[in-house]
Amino acid sequence: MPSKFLRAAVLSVFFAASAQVALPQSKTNPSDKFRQLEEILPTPNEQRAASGAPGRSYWQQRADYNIKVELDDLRQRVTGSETITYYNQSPDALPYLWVQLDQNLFAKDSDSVLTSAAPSFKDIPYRTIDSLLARRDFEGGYQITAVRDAAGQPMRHAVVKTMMRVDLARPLAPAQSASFSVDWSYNINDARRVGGRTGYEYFPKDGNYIYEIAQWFPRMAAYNDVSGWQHKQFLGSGEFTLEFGNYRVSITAPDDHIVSATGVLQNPNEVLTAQQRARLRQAETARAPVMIVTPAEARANEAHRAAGRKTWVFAADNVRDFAFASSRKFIWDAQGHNVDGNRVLAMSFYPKEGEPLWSKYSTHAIMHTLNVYSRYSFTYPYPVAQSINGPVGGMEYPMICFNGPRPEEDGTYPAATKYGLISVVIHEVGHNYFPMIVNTDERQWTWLDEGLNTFLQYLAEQEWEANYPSRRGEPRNITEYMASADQVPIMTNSESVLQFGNNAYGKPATALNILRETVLGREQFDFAFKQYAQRWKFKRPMPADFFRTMEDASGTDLDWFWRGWFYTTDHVDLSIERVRLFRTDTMNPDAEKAARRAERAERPPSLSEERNRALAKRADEFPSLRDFYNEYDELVVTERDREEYRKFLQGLTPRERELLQTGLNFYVVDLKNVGGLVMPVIFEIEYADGTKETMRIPAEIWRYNNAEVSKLIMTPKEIRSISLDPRQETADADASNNSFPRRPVQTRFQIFKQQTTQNPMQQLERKQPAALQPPPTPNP
Amino acid sequence: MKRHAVKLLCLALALAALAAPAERRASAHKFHTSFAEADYDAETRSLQITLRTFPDDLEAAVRRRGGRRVSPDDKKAFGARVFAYLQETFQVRTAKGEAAKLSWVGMDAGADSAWLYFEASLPEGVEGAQVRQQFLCDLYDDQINLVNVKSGGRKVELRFERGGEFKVITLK
Repeated sequence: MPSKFLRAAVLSVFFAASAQVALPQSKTNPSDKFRQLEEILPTPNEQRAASGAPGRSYWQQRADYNIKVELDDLRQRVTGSETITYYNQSPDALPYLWVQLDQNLFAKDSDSVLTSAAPSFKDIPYRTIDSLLARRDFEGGYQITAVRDAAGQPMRHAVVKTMMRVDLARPLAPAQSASFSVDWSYNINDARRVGGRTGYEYFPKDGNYIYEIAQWFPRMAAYNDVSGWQHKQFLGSGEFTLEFGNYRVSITAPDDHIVSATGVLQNPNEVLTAQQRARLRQAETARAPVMIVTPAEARANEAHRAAGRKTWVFAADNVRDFAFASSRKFIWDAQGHNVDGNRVLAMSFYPKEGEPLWSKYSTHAIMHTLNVYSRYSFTYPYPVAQSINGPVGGMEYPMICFNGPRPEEDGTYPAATKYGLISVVIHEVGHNYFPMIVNTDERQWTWLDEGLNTFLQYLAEQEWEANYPSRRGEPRNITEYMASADQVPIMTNSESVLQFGNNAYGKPATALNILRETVLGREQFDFAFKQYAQRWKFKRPMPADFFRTMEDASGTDLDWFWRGWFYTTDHVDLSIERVRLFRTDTMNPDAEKAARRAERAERPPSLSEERNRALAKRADEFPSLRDFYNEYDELVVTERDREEYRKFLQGLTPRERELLQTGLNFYVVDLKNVGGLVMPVIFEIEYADGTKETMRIPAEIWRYNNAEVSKLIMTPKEIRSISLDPRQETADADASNNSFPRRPVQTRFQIFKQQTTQNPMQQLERKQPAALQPPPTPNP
Repeated sequence: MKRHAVKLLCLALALAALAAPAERRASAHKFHTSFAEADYDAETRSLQITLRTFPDDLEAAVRRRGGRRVSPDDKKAFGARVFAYLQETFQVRTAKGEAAKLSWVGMDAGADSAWLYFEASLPEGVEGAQVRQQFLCDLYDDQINLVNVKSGGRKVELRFERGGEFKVITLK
C-alpha cells in the first residue's frame, strides 16, 4: 500500500566534491557569526543613544584660538604665540588641561624614533640612509618659551613627549571657560628627506621653498565622554582628533609670498594687489578657473627676493584645526562654486613644476568632490576649499589639503599620475566631511574616517569619467588582501595596524560598497549613510554610533556584517560543494514502472555479467528447476497496482493531487563557507532550455549553521549549470569553487599566455609601427 | 685599514637606525603591498607567477635603476626594464639551492593595476624550492610582498619584508 505522503526518490547525483567537514559548533568551540554585538559595543547612555544618534545629554568641548605666527624663510623656522580660550562643556571639573605637541614627533628622542624597528641592512637603499641621516641631524620639536594665564602670569606645565599638561590654579568647573597663552618656536622639517605630514620642499634650481605648515601650534587635546582626555602619544600614524572652535590667525611671511590657509582672508587690501583682488571677484562668478597669480607672474616671483614682510590675517569658524601654505612659487587659480546654495570658492596653489596637470585638474576635482560628497552626506558648510601642491603626498586639514602628484620635468605625464592627482585631490578634499566635520578620532580608529572617505572617493571617481581606474571599491580588488594571512581586524588601533592602506582604507571602503550594492541596496544604504553624516556633523561619533545608525536607519540587523568584516580577518569564499536532484514519485504504476524499466535498460551490464552470459546454466539443463519466479517480472503493471493507485488518488485532497502532478525538480545545492565570512548567496541559474535566472539569498541563510548549508531550488525545468556570485560583488576570493558543474578557472597567467601566440616581446615588436599594421589580436 | 672603515660604516648605520623615521605618509596611495600568485605547472615543470602591483610604483622602481628614461607606453623597452628589475628582486632557487632561471612572459597594465607574468623553471619540483621577494623594497621601507604558492590543491603563503631572506616552499 503506497503511503499517502509524497515520497522523494533520489534519481541521480550529479556531482560530489570533497568529504563533509564536521561543523565546529560544539560546547567548546561555538561558531555564532550572527551573535549580536551588544556584548562588544559599549552600553548606550545619555551621551550616545542606542539608535546611534547623539544622546540627549551629548556634549563636547570647544576651543577658540587667536594665533600670531611668523615664517622664517631664511632659517626655515616657525615662531608663534597663541591665546587659547577653552570652554568646558563637559559635566566634569577639570584640574588641568592637556595640549597636543605634535611637532615633538620630530624630536630626537621621540617615541616615534625610539620605537621604530631597525631597518634591514641588506640592500639598504641610498634614499633610506639619506632619510635616516637627515632625521638624525634634524633639530626638531617644540621650544615652548612661555605658558601664561589670562593675567600674564606663568602657569605650571609639564611636557610629556607629544603632550603637555597645563595646571590650573583651580579646577575649571562645568560651563566655565579659561584662557591661557603659549609662545613657541620650532625648526621646519625637510618633508622630502625627513618625511612628515608637514614641512618644506627646497627647489635647488631657483633657490625657493614651498612650505606646507600643519600640526604646527600647541592644540587642545580632545576631552570626551568615551576616552576622557585623548592624550594617546603621537607616533606618526594615528593622525589626530581635536575640538571645534573659531580661529583668527595672523601669518607673517616674506612680502613676495602667496599664503593660503584654512578660512577666509580678512585683509585682502593689505596683502593682495588691486589686480589680484579684481581677478578674485571675477573668479567668484566665473565658469572656469581664473588665474589670480598667472604662471608668468609666478615665474617672475621666483627670481625675486623679499625685502620685507607681510601679515596675512585669516578667520575660520567652527573648524577643528588650522593649516597653511606659503611660497613665492605659487601659481593660484580660483573658481566660485554653488554647492546646494552655499557659495564656495574652490582654489588651487601650485608651483610651475605642477603644470600642466594642476591648472587642468585640481580646482575641477575640488568642485566635483563637493558636489558628490554633499549629495551623500551634507552640504559643504565652509566658504573655501583649497588644494596645494608641495612635498606632502596627501594630507587633509579643514578647507585646505596638500597633494603631491606632479608631471615629468618635460610636462608629460603617465596616466597613473593624472589619475593619481585627481584621486588624491578627491580624497583629501573629501576629508573635509570625514573627519574634519564628522569629527572622528583618527588617533584611535583610522578606518572610521579613512574607510568612509575612501568609499565616497570611489563613488566620486566613478562619476568623474566612465571606467575611472579606481584603486579601491570594487570587491575583486580586495580579495588577495582578505585571503592573506598577514593582517589584523579593521577594529585595531591606528598605531598597531598592519598593511595600513589595505586594512584602514581599502577593506572598509569595499565593505561599505558591498553593503550598499549587495546587502542593503542603494536606496536604503544611502538613506542610512546620510543619516549618520547628518546626525554627527560637527560632533564626534565612535564606531558603535556608526554601526548602530546604519542598522537603525536601514531597518536591518547588520551585526553579522560588522562582526565579520570589522572584527575578524575572515575572508569571503563560498563554495558549491555538490548539487543533488530529487523528483517526486508520481505513484502512477504505469509511469513509475516504465521509468524504472527504462533506467534498468540504460544501465550497462557489469563486466562479470557480460562474461557470465555465455556460461551454460544448470536451470537451462534441468528445466524442472524453473518455477513462477523465473517468469515473474516485477515491472509489469498489474490490475492490482492500478487499483491501489486509484484508491491512493481517492484518498488525496485536491491540493495534494495537484502537488503530485506538478512534476517539479527539487535541486538541493550544498554550500560550504570556506573563508569563514558569512555573506549573501547569489546564484545565476542556467536552465537546459537556455534561459537564465538570478537568485539573491540574504546572508541569514547561514544563521543556523555558519559552515554548511543547503538551498532548495524547485523548478519544473532542468538545470544545466549554477554559478555563485557571477558579477563578482561579494569579494569571493576563490572562483574555482563557484560553479556547478565545476568549471576549471583559468588563472590570469594562463589567460594571458593563451592570448599570446608569439611571446609578448615579439608581439610588441610587431606592433610598434602600429599605424602600418592590421589590428593585432586585442591586448587586454 | 680597509676593514676598519667598513666597521665604522656599520656603526654609523646602526646609530642612524635608531633615528629611523617611523612616520608614514597620509597619502591616499599607501598600499605598499604586492601580491603574487605562483602556480606550479607540473607539465612544464615551472612556477607560473602573476605579480600584481601599481603602475606608478612600477614606473618609479624602473626609473630608480637609472639609464635612459623609458615611457611605460613603450611596452617593449619598458617590459625589458621591468624584467631586469624583477630578476634582481624576485629570486627563486631550486631545492638544491641553485638559482632558477626566470623567463619573462609579459605584462598587462591599466591605470589602476599592473600584472607582471613570468616563469621560474623548477625541473625538480616546487617542494623545497626557495623564494626571496624584494619587489619595491628599495622604494618603500614598509613594503610587504606576499607570495601565494600553489601546486595540486596544496598551498603556502610566504611573506617578505625589506631585507627578508630566502624562504623554503613547504606546501600544506
